[in-house]
Amino acid sequence: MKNVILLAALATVASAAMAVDTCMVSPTAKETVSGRFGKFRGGGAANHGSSNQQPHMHDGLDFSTTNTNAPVFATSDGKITWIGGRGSAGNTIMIQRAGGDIVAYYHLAGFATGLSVGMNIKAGQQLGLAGNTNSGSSSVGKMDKHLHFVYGAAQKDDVRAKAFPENASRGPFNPSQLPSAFNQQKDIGWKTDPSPYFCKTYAIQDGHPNQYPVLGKDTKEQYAILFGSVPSGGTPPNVKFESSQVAAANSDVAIANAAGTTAVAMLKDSDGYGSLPTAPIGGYDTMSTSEMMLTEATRRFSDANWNTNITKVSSRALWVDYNRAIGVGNYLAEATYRKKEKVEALLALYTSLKMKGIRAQTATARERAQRNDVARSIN
Amino acid sequence: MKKLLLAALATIATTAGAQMPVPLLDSAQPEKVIDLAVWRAAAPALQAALECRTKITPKITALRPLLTKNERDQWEMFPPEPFTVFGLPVDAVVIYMDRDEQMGHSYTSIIVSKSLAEVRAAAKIKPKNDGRNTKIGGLGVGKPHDPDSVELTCTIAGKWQD
Repeated sequence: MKNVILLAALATVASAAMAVDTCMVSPTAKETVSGRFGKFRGGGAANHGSSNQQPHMHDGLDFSTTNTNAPVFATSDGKITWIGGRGSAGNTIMIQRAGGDIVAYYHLAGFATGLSVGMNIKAGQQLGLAGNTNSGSSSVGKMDKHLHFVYGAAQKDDVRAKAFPENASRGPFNPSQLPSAFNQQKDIGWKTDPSPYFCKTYAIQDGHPNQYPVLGKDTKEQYAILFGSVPSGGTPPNVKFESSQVAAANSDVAIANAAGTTAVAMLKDSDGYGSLPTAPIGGYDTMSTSEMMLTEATRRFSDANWNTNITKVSSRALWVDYNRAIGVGNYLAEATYRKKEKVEALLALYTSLKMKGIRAQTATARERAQRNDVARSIN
Repeated sequence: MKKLLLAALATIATTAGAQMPVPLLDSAQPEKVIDLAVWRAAAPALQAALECRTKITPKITALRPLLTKNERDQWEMFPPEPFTVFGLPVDAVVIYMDRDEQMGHSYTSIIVSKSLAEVRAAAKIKPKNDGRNTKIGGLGVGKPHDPDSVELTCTIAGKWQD
């Protein structure tokens, strides 16, 4: 009897272990990463072949295919949850792993024949060919052919654990401490650095060899540098930002430290460093004057350290905010003017109504006088 | 037309030696028969979108009955009568529109009876290029799902870009 119970217990443990995701294999034969996770990209042609002209954080790993339509393979067993065109991502496949996490393959030139949603996939199975669909609006075919690989964790806690291992080791999470700004993307989940989920580490060759000793020469080394220990002056792990933002911020600080300078000195206005929170200018169309004042006050002074922080922002950011203040001032002036208009319109209406009564009184008096005149003339 | 497409797909599946029929589209979604009057009202707007001339917005009322609320933000349609894009017969249409505007839109025409070269020529895509830009986005051509059907996709980028 004891043996039966023991066997049953072992079977339960085994099946539970089976449900846990195993580490992932490479999605490409080349096994080289050409775009780091979380790297801040200035946009434009000189930006790792990215067609995006806007500065942005890199939310996945770019696997190099040497600008060819090389085969792309499933990194783990799972089930297809999406296949087809997906806007900016181009031809996309998404696979849900046993634990619920999603891996996404973007910009594919084509899919392996016969794949469809709901189909089970085995690790190493060919999913399609790398490509450059879609390169973004107005830039068809200009992006290098590669695989953009995104990892979406099903559980927010898991993102935090992977992103901040030093905190994870301290014990169970306090849900109230969970970052609220982690980007949960529809159909993908909580996007995070895919590196710790892979069995192997992959060499990074992103065209910036001077950064290899600083940010890491391979994916797991970068992960250890950016998330394992926070560089001096970097973003601490209890931040409210998403993983790619933390990685980008810490990358910049690490690069600055290695160059013997600080991020403040190294970053330029064009990097967006030091900008103040954006004002919701568009919303001012419908706001009352008091709502505008409240919004402006909240934006500037809600942070307890606002008086310290304001001294650290760049001159460009201050000029931008100055111009914004003028804009908001115009909105306020217009709102005040419109309010005055309304008051004057009400006063005009009031006067008009009052005059109506006076006019009626005058007409009655005139009529009475005329009647009296007639009566006098008859007499 | 639908029978033709399914027959073609079944042939492809047999040729490929697959164990099950190859679904060109997402097999997880049940295929809906589109009312002819609804289709006729929507067809011009749909054609404009597939030819990458007009972005689909909620203001286009004729498309509303076809694009009802959908968890996946993806709609698949089989035209109930002959329907053309750039003068080419379209066998199926797939529309993707991200409600959050993060990923943008994809409007795909699936054409079984024409070659890649014929579709390129009709869509005015140069032989060396994967696509061409339009006023609202990019028009791309390829055979992503299977070698016997050509897909012409109009992509309107969202906020997210690689």
